[in-house]
Amino acid sequence: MMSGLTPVDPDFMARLRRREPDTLKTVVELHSRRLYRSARGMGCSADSAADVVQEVFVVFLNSLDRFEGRSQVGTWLFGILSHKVREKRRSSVVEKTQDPIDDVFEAQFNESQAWIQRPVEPDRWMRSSEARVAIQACLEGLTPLQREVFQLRQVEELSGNEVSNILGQSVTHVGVLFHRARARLRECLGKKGWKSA
Amino acid sequence: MILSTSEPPAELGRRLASRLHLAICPYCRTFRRQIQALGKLARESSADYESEPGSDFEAQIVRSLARAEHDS
Repeated sequence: MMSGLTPVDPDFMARLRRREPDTLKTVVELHSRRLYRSARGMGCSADSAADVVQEVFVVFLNSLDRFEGRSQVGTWLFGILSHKVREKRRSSVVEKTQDPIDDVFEAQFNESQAWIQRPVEPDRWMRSSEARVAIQACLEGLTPLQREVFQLRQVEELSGNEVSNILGQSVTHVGVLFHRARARLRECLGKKGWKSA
Repeated sequence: MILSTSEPPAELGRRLASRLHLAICPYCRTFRRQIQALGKLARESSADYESEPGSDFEAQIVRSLARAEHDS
């Protein structure tokens, strides 16, 4: 499987550098809907996500001379996307060191680190349309950075290293943010009907 | 810990410890299944967004790139 950190094929890279229309069209066709999906997942409205994706490709075009091809085009595009989404949001990416969800999660274990309330099997509710609506609402409760990490790691299935490169965060911090995002979503879904959370 | 150490790039020793723990702890295995279900739900929910842009979405972007290229 090709990782996002695999270098770009030199021939493809040369065609990109020459800005060959067919090559650019291929990149757009390969990545635009995925980028749109991510922008939506990161909290952009439909109109805003469409604008952001368009801007991402323009920045990509203008920055092709700086793109060295050491990572895949998709990883480079996701980096631009993340930057653009933050610009739209005008928010800082600084996260608090402590997050209350850590205490909520830890409270599920006793002093011997055994589960106090044992998790039960994920149920049919998780496959319902109600659950799909609920998770969208729960995503609103994540911090912007947790949401970006969750989208890139869980939905786009990028590796911790790729997300670390895209967001400019350490791999360890990406892991912490991913854990917090999942713990918070699990907690939130539990309150919305996932009785087994 | 179970989630973060069960797959690369966690060190081999931690991955093995994690697998061993999962082998003996049914509750952590259930917890892992919960998290997998959560991930599946998130992917399915997010997939709905892909159909939102119109069929000319890609063509619009290509046109905006052509304009940007022409202007530069």
